[in-house]
Amino acid sequence: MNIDIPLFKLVDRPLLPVAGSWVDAAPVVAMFFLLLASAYGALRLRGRARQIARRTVQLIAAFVFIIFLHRCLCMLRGWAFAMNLVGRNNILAFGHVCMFIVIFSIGTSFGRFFCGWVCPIHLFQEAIGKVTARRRTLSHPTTRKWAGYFMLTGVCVLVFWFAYQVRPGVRFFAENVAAVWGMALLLILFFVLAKDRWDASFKRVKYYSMGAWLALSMAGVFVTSSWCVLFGDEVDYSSMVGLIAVLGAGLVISMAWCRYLCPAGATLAVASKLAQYRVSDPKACTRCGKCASVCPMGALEPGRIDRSSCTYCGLCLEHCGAQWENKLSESHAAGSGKEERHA
Amino acid sequence: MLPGRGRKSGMRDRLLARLALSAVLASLLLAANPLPAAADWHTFHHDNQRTGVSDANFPSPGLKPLWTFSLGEHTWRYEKGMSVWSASPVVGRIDEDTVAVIIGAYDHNVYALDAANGELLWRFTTGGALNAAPAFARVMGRPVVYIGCSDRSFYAIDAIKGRKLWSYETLPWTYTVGPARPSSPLVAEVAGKQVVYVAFSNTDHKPGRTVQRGELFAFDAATGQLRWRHFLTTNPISAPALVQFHDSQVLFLGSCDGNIYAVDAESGEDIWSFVTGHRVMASPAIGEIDGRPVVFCGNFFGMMYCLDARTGAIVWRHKVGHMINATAAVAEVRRTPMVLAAGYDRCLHAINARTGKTMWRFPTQKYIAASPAVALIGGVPAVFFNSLDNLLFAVDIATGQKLWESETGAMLWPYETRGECVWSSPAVTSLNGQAVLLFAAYDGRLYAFSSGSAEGGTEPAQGSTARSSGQPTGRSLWLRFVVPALGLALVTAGLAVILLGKRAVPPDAS
Repeated sequence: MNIDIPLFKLVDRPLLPVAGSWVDAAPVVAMFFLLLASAYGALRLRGRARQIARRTVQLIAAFVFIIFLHRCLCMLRGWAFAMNLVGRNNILAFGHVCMFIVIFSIGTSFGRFFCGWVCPIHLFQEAIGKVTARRRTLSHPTTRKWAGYFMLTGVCVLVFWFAYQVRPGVRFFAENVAAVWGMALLLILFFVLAKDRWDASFKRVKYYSMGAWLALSMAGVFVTSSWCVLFGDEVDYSSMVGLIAVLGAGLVISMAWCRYLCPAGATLAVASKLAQYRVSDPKACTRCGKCASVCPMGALEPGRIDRSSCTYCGLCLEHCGAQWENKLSESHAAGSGKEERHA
Repeated sequence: MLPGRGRKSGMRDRLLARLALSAVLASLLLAANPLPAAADWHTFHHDNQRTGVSDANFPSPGLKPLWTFSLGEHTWRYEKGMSVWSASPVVGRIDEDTVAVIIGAYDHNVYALDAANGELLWRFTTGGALNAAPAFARVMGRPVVYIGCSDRSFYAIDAIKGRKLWSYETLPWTYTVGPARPSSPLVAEVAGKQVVYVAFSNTDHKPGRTVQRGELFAFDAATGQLRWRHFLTTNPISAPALVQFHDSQVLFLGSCDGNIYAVDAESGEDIWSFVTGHRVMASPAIGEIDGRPVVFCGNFFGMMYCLDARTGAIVWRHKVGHMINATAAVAEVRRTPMVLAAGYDRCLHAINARTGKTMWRFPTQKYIAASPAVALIGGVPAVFFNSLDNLLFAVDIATGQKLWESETGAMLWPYETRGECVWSSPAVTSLNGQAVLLFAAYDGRLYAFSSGSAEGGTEPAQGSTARSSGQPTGRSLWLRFVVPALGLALVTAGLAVILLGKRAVPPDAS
């Protein structure tokens, strides 16, 4: 089975070549400014303006990294490659590691800020989640569950069929990491559909995913991601299978990939432990539960915030009354008066 | 894909194709390769232009194993950059009776085998793994083998006795040096002297004073005297290809820094460089479009570039599905110049060299990482290539139909890192009028195939033609339509249940 994917990169040569090589500084510069713009939007804008700014940044990021520039956004794999290349080929090492440094550095201040404001996969999952989101809120829980089973089985059939069609001759696991991860995600969803309360437990799987991903990369396995086909403009069957699984899973459970398995998200979740800016839980919280119902990541419960899942989308801030508007504040600034500068 | 024609027309086309192929070969060989006999595969990808085209003719597509040769013991530990044998075997006549197959291996040895029966003629031990193909040349009447080694040395070996003639250490040993990545050498006559060119990439992890040098070396082929060395980049460099202009000779090289370099062969000075969007692992291949010499080279973005050899200007570019690791083969069929590009998208692409458009694609089940070779089968130009599912194919260049396939043993190591491994490629030569296909497979064996009798020929398998002519069978129809339809139906059913199912809250309440 062969699939044609036409060239959809407008620029396929480096705009800002590093030392005359193919390593392009332009995507890193673009990422830096996108994150800067996001930070400004998140901290200075409020309400609907903040969401408009977020959508704008997401769409620009999707255009820059999918259509405009050729760039691999794989942070973990890039970091592992770079560590292997240091001393052997420093320019290539720099090319692989620079994106990780920029995103992780921002992560130490803003946690999974990159996920909610820049990552195109997050945008696509949000978009596909909206297909079923409104109806899901209206449907009876039993109806929702059975509909989820139907859809999940359908997505599984499609993914396994596609994986079968493009199956490689040998070494399935080592060369089809994205497909394996995609299938694992679908299996997780069956469990979560069966029991909602397992959601919190399965959110911890992303750390194991990160560890396995990193170990494979360090061992020299060319791990593929579900986004390679988008960012790399590659007919990589494994990543195509993975992408179908990720988008299909998003139909059933909102942001399924980002919630349970994304290794890059897990890396930023680790960084979020150091984050200076967080969504805080003010004392004035009435525990009405509105914020939990709008959070696409399921990071909020009345009186509790899962900071490793929060992607700083800011949707909760819009649905929570006046006293919740200032939650995006310095974590250590409670009571120090610094919150007021965002008001 | 070209449409089918009548039998007479087909014969005429085959005759024309053969004539055209012979003409191209003759012109290429006369232009820049006066040393070896026409049927010899004396360097990586056949000739100094790296065209990968041999005029050896297999009488029928039923190729059968002639002999195999295996190393005594194998290294089972995977190492980046290793190869089972070498980038490719080379063939040269060492005396009137003997044609030798010369190949380097990861066990630090260069082997010379009798091409007729695969018996070992001699073995030369170096200080490191030999991942690049050697080059064979006749220098001052003496057959010589040149090979670069990961011990950072370049060796010239007497091809008859297997003794070292001279060697050159490209970087002195220290406790912190890494294994070198040499390219396949190239031997050419420049300004009346035979010169051997080789690229070396050396690293030394000296704390604070790291050395990363990708250099091109030019040696006097007879004496080993260094003519010049030229620092090109900090990255590994692919095997050079040579073009003979009327006033100069120019070397073309690809590099992992994404550049394609043009260097003057006499002085070593830079002429032009062209930066692509990703690593260039392949060696450039030289062709000609309407009398204009052009350079074909693919990169890891999957882009095949056709550049003007004089100026480095883009003539066309063509995106294949995935990374290109292999050197392209350049052939001419039915007066149409063609580029045969192998990709990690599990396809062999036949591209019209004039327009840069795909003519046909041949799908495989696994990546095609090694370079294809072109020869004739029954007078019809065919391309030989291998995919990483341990299969070796012969495909009709004109139509994209499979003519033959053979399976080799399983790969020695459990996985490979793309861009780090060196993949051996098939080579085709002629032995006393009999065409022989040589392939150092990834199971650690060197295979030689020759054509059986016409009666014993293997018929092309059904349903194995290029994608555009394939017709779905009953089973594939079921797989193509029924299963995905079931999946889609289930997803639709889920959506329908959500839309039409029992509601917890009336829509008006929202």
